[in-house]
Parts: sequence; C-alpha cells; structure tokens
Amino acid sequence: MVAESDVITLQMECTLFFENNPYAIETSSGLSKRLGRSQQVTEQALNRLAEMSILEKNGQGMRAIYRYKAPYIQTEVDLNAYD
Amino acid sequence: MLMIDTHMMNDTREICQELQDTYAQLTNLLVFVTNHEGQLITAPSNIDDASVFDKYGSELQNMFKTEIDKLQGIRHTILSDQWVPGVKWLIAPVSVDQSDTGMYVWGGILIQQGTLQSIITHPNYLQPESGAPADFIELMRSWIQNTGEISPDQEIFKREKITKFAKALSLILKSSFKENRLTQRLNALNETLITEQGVGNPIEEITRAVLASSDLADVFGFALKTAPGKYTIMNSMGMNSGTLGGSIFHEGEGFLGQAVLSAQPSRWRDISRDPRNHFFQQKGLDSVYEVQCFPIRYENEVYGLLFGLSFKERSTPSINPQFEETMISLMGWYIGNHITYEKMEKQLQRFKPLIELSRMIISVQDIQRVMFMLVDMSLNLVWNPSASIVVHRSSEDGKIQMVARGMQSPKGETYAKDIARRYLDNSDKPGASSFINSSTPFSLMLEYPIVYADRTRAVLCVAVSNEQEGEECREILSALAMMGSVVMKSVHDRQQYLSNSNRFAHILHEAIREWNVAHYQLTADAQKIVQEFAMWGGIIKEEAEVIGRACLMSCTDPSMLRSFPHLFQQEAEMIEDYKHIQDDQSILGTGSYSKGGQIMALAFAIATAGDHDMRVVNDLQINGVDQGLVSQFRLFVLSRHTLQTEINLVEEKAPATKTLTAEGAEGRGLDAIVKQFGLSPREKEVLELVVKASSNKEIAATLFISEHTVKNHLTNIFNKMGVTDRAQAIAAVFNKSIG
Repeated sequence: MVAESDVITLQMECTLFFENNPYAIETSSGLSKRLGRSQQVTEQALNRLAEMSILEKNGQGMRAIYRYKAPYIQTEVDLNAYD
Repeated sequence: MLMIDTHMMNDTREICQELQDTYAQLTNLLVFVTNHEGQLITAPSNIDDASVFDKYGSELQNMFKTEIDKLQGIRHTILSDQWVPGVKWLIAPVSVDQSDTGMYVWGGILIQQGTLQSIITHPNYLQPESGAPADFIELMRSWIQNTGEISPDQEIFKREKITKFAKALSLILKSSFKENRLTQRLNALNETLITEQGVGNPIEEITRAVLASSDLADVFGFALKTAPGKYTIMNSMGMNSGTLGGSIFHEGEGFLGQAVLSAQPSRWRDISRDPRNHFFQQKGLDSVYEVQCFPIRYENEVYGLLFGLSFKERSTPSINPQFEETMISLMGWYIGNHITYEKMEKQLQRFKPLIELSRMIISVQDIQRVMFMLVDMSLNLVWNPSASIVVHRSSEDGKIQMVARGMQSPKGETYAKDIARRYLDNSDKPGASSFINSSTPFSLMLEYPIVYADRTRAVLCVAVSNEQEGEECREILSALAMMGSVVMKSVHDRQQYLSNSNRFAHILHEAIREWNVAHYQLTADAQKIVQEFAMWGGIIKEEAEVIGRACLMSCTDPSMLRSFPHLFQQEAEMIEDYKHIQDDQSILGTGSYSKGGQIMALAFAIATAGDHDMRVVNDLQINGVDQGLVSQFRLFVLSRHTLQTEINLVEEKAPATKTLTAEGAEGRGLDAIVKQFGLSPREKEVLELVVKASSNKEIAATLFISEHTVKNHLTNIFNKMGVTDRAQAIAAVFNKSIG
C-alpha cells in the first residue's frame, strides 16, 4: 500500500517533468524508469493527472501514452477593455 | 412485550425462587410465577408433587395463557376465581417497564369463610369438561379440600404479601434486565468496533452500528457540516427514517440547527405542537415526541450532529439513559476527532510533496513557468480538482497575463479581468488574505493574492467543490501561493538586478563618449556582436547580457566595478581576463581565462575589423582563447555575414521596411498573414519570433518546445505562405504591413 503523500509527490514530479518537456510522449513504464519509481504507482499518478486534464491519455493499460496538455494562456489581456 | 424472563440470569433465578418459597411459606399459599405466555419461570412453591406440571406442561400453559389474555392491562394485584367458582387466586403483575407486564405471580388457593361446603357441593365442581387434565383436576381437588377457609383479614394479609413479592421480583428483574442488556450492548459495541476496524471509511459504518443497537430513540440520524453554517444529514436509521437522508438544515434553524450551536447535548420533549417540528413533519415523521441531539465537536469546532427521535414517551428506559447519552456523546467526540485527524492527514499528505516542490520551483527564473507551476500544482493539491487560474500583471500598461486550466475563453478572460480589477488595480493596498468567491462564472473560487515588492502582483485562484472543501484546502493553497510569492519575488529581483546593471553599465558607457568617441562606438559594436552570437546560439541569453555589459564597461577599472555592492562582480572578472588576454602573448589557446573574457576578446577583434570581419576571421587566432571557441566564432561570423547580405537584398527590394518596427509588423502584417494563410495560433507565435530575428534555438526556449518542433512549425508556415525560407517569410510580413 503506497502512502497517499508518495502518490501526490509523484504526481507533482510527473507534472514538473511534462512542464519541462511539454512535447514529451511517455508511457507509464517509460516514465517510471526515468523517475526511478514503480510502474504501478507511476501509472496511478499519471491517471490522476489525466483526470485533472493536466495530461492527455491515449490508449489503455500498459499501452496508454501520456502527453502534456498546455494550459490556456493569454499573455496580453487588455484591462482597459472592460466587459 | 419485553421478554424479561429471558434476561433472568441463573443466580437471579435462584434468588427469585428463594424469595418465592419464603413468601409461599409465609402466606401458606401455592405460588407460581409465569411469563406472559403462561410458561412457568420458577418451580411452584408449597406443592409436594410437582411432577404433574412437567407431565402436563403445555395444557397448564394454555390454562394460564387463557387467564392472562383476560387480564391484559392489569397494574395491581387482583383476585380471580375463573377456574373454579369460589376458589380464588391472587394474580399480581410483575413489570420492568410500567407500560409492559412481563410476568405474573399466581398465589392460591383462597376460600372465604363459610364457602367451602357450597363450592365442593356445586354440581359443576371440577368437572372434566373444564379443559384441565384429569390428574391436575385431582390435584386441585386435594388442594381445595386441604385448604382451610380464611377470614377477610387473612385475605388482606395474603394479598399484601403476594403484592410485595411481585414488587420485589420486579425490582430484582429490572436490575437483572438492565445489567443483562448493558452486557449485551457492550458486547455489541465491542463487536462493532472490532469488526469495523480496518474497513474503508469506517466512521459512518461504526456510527450506524452504534446507533442502531441503542434503544435511546426510535430513529437516529448523523449530520455533517458541509459548508460553514450548513449541515447535511448523511445517514439515518430506524422506522420511516429514509426520508431524512440528504436533508439540509442551517445553524440556528429548528431543533437540529439550535443543537449545533450548543456545546452540550440538547433534548426537547412533547414537541408535537412545536412549530420547529415542521422539519420532521415535512419528512413524513408526523408523531415525533422527543428530540435528543449530541453535537459532534472536537476542541472548539463543530463538525456535525448525532440526533435521536422518539415517537412516544419513554417513562422508564430499559437501559440506563445516562450511559446511552454518554456513549453517544463519546461517539460524537470520536467522530469529531476522526474528522480532525482525516483533515490533518489530508493536509499532511500534501505538505510533504509541497516541500519537495519548493526545492524544484525555487530555481525557476521565468514568470510564465512559475504561473504554469502554480496552476498545475494547485490542481494537484486540492481535494477535488476542477479549475485553476493565475493572473499576473507584469507592467503598468494595462495588460495582464493569465494561465488557466479548466476554464476557457471568454469566461476565463472575463474572470481574469475581474480579478485584475479587484486585486491588481489597487496597487496601494496589497491584500494578503485569501477569499472564497462564490460569484464567479465557475464554481466557488479560492482567491490568493500574491504579494511581493510591496504590491499585489498576481492572484492564484483555485476552484473548490464547496465551502467546506475551501476551508480545508485554504492553508495548503496558502502555502503554495506563498511559495509563488517567494519565487516571483526572486524572478522580479533578478529582473530588477538586470535592469539596474544595464542602467549603470549604460551610464558608464555614455561617460566614455565624452572623452573617447571611437572607443564608445567600438564597445557598442562589441556588445552587439556578443548579442548576435547569443542569438545565433553560441551562448545563452543570460550569459550574453553579462558579457555585453562587460564590453560596454571594458574601459572601466575592474576594482572600481567591484566596489558596486552585488553588481558587476562577473563583469569585473571578465574585463580583467580580457585585458590579460590582450596583454599576455605567452599563452596560446589554453583557454585558461574565463569564457566571458575570451568572448570579449573575440568580439572586440571582430568589432575592430569592422566591415572586413570576414577577412579577419579567417586568420583569427588570439593568445589565451580556446581554439574551439575560435572555430565556433568563425562559423558565427560567417553566418552573420550571410544574414546581413540577405537582409540587405530585402531592403533593396522594399526600402520602406527601414522605417518599420517589429511591433508594427506584428500589429498589422502578422495578423494579415495569419488571416490570409490560415496559420494556427502556435504557428503565429513561431512566426512572430522569426520576425524578431530569433534563432530556432531561441524560439524553442521561448515556447518550451524542441528545436525539431520549431523546424516542423517553420516548414508548415513556409508551405502555407508559399515561401522557401525565413527571410522570405519576414519579407512577406513586412510587405503586408505596408500594403
């Protein structure tokens, strides 16, 4: 049984990995090797991130691949144009 | 009907038997004790041969039962001669609860003075058709004939004694019954607590089990605080209680609402005409007589309420009510404790990862990256993640940046503007505390002002599913926002540092103009070359900034530069190295000087050559400069020369572009190109950077994508625009801007 704090820590690590590599496409197996964590917990963390829409998940099970979903960005919202 | 006889323990039975025999001897009566079904509970007293009771057990039970059915509701000792006219029996009820009679004491036989002869000579005297077994009739006959007639005083004496025996029996049984029920209750509680340990989410199950085995009320309920001042009944059990589940009440509203305001258990009786009873009547519970409430508290916080409803008055509860009340109060404390623990556990589960995150986030030196992290990490930290947004105001030009997840335009932008208006416009009053905003286009939003450098410069807003979750997440998100403040301040300080460094460097540079215009120009050119070298990809932008400043201040004494606190330490070292390279002819290509100093030497060599840089570069060889760096610089100068040529061709073709700024091109030409050729937003961003003369590497760094992806985007852009290279693409943008 993995502690909840460890899963959340791994979620954050995965989030940072994809933020730093926004065009990376990874499987849970591949990422678990990169991060040195068990595949089962990594998959759990990745699926939670997919539920939060931080990652996009394609496929199911071991073959599922994950990629970063960029957040909505607006760099120049004009404050003077009030609604 | 209480089956109190089943609670009669062996030792109690012995005491009762002893008492029964004593009273039987005292009154000289035959004494039986039966339950309400007519079964004998103890051995008959004052009977020599009791074997007939074993032999005809069921027949006798029917006889007693028939009599008991006629006596329903008796509360006092009576005399009955139903079996044989004139032959009387005292029948005394034995009750544990005033409303229920569980046992009967039978005392006989009583024959009044002067009536025995008429009884035994009566034509129907103990006829077989009376229904009793023949052996029993024979036994009765012998009892009657051996029983003497009694006076009225003797009858009163016997009645009193049988009544007292029944009362004594009642007291003994009550005590035994309570003790027995208490043991059963404790066993049930013990079993419940052992069984439910380790089961997922056991708190509701334990509560249900504990309340279900209590007889303090007919219906029990379990309500939890789901928002400040708002409670929801999560669970209910008992007769017709199903309609209570999911019901909501507020603090101070009705019995339940008033109970949560009290630190102590509350009780209301005879509430049938009380208007507050309307809450239960609405749920189909029409005849509630009594409400008992036990607040679920831990320390000073109320988390919910346990309550019980009774439909009738309980004059003598079968179990010690104080025990039950204490038990349920303890249950409330236990639940409160459990909820507090769960809440703290949830927060602790998130604080540890947050501390881990702080180690990684502190090195980020880009505001947009910090915003990305705040948005994504906030979703990782809340209980039920759905949406998050960070709004940042970087300048005074009325523009804000927003990064959001879970909310899209235009609602996201509208909300961002609202945030900016409420937090970021009011620059004089930085707000530091969080706020739960329920009037947003989304769900409830927790808003955290991010304050640094004496102003609110950003706001982190995170959606929560309800106010309760908002309260629970408040601290952990506050820690994240605080972390964001620290990192943003760090980035801000760094920008300020760079700004100050650049400003001082330019002041010192301008000072040179006064006494050496040629050197002023030379240092400016060298700085430009360093910047171009960085854009070409030779060094990173931050490195180029430092080397560029060192070029501008190359005439300044390094020891004087070191006197500026926290400024120009690197620049002073580079200048020293550059000067050593210039002076030192003995070292060739060892690269023992700092990279910055070596690049300065190369940049000044090219700047000094001016338009003849291509010729210079072919023979470029400077003592003390690494040969690899020299080769790299040679390639850079070659590409720089080519690029300048291309730009010149474009300029010749379209001279008007000389007056255009990149911003102007973006403003008109770029939008027109995007519209005309259908470029995607990402392609537009790439083209915008191409127009600003960014290299592929720089574009990749700015947009957080790989160089390979930049090339893919460029290929698509060129295909759509029908051009073959970036120069043509830039030209197209500039042409559009003047078209």
